Amino acid sequence: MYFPNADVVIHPALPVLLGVIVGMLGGFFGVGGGFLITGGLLVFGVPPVYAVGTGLTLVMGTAIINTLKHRSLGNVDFKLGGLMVTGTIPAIFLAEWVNATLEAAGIAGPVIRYVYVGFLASLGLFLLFDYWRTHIRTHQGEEDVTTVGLTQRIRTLRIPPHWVGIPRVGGVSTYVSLPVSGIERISVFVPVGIGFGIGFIAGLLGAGGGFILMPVLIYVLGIPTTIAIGTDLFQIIITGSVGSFAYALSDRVDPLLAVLMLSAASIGSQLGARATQRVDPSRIRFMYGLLIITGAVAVALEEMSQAVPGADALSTVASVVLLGSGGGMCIVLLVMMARSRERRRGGGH
Amino acid sequence: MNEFLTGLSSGQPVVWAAFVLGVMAVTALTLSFFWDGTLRAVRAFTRERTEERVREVLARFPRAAWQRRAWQRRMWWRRRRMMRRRAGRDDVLP
Repeated sequence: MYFPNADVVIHPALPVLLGVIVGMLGGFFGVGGGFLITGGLLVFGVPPVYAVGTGLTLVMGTAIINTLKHRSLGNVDFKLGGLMVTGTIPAIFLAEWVNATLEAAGIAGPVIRYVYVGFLASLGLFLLFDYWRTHIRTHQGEEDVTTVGLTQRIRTLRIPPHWVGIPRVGGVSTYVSLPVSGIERISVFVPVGIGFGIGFIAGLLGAGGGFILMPVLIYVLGIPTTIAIGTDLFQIIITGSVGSFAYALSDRVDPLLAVLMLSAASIGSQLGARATQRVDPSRIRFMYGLLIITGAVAVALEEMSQAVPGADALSTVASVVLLGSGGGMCIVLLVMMARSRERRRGGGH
Repeated sequence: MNEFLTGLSSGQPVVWAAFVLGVMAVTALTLSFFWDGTLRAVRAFTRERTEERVREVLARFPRAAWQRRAWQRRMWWRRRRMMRRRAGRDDVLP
C-alpha cells in the first residue's frame, strides 16, 4: 500500500498489527505509546521525520478513543486533568525554547538522550521496587504504595495566595476538592505545578509525557491506579494535539498511515481499557515498570548506534526489542484477561 | 486522493494541519462510538440468549418454590458482585 505523504510503500498488515499493540497498551497503561510507534514505523521503513510526526498524531487519536472508553468506566477525573493542562501548555512552549537553545549550542541530541535513558531506567526500577516492597515482601493491598507519607504531605500543602479576588465575584478559594480522585482538598497550584513539570520534561524529551504522568499521579498525588490511567489519557489528548499540529505545519505527518493505524488501535483500545478492570492495580504498575525498562534499553541501543561508528544495526535491534516487548505484553494481557474470566465463571457457580 | 493530500500539505500548511487534526479527531470519535455500540449490542444479545436458555431449562425442569427463591438469591448476589467489581468500588448497589 502506498502512503503518499511519507512516500513509502508498506504492507498494510504491519501498521495494522502495530496499531492493535499500541491501542491495547495505551488503554491498559494510560500512555500514548509514542516511543513504540516511532520505533515500529522506523523498522517498517518510514522516514524518521514522518515516523515521529505520524506517531504523535496517532497518539492523539488513540488518546481520544481510550479517554472515551475510560470515561464510560468512570476512570477519568476531568477536573484534575483540566487543572494540569493549564500548566502543561506553557511548559511545552518553554521546553521547545530550551530545546532550541541546547540545539544552537550543539549539545541537544546526546544530552537529551542520556537524560531520557537515565529517567526511564530509574522510573522503571522504582516501579519494580515498589511492587516488590508492597506486594511481595509485606503483602499489602493492591492500591498501597511506598510513598504514602509523600502523598499526604503533598495533599496538605498550603500554598499562598489562599484566596484570589475576582471583580464582581469576590474572593475565590485556591483550594479544590477532587472527589473522583478521592482528594478532599488540595491547592490548585499542586496539579498546575505537576502539569507544568510534566509538560516541560515531555517537551524537552520530545515525548507525549504520559509515561511520566501516570506514575506521578499514583505515587505523588496518591490517586487510584485506574483513575490515574484515565486522567493521564485525557492529558495526552492536549499534549498530543499541540505536538501533532506543530509537526503537521511543517508537513511531517502522513494522515493515511495514521488513520489506518488508528482504526486498528481502536480494537486494541477496547481490550486494553477492559483489562484495567480485570487485572490487579499492583500488577499493572509492575508490568508498566517492565515496559519502561525495555524502553530505556531501546533508547540506550539507539544512542549507541549513533555514537559508535559502524553500529547502525543496533538501531534496528532497538526497534525490534520495543516491538517484541510490546507484542509480548499484549499476549500476557490477553492470557490474564482469559484467566480472570475463568475465575469469575468458576466463582459464580 | 494522493494528489489532493500532497497538494494540500505543500500548499497551505495551516489548513493542512487543521485538516490532519480534524480527520484524526473525527475518525477517533466515530470509531469509539462504533465499537461502543457494537459491544453493547453483543452484550445485550448474549444476555438475552442466556436468559432465554435459563427460561427453557426452567420450563423443562420445573423447580420447587424454595429452589427458585434460592436461585434468584444466588443470581442477585452474582449481579451485585459483578457490578461492584466493574465499578471498582464498594459503595455501588444493584
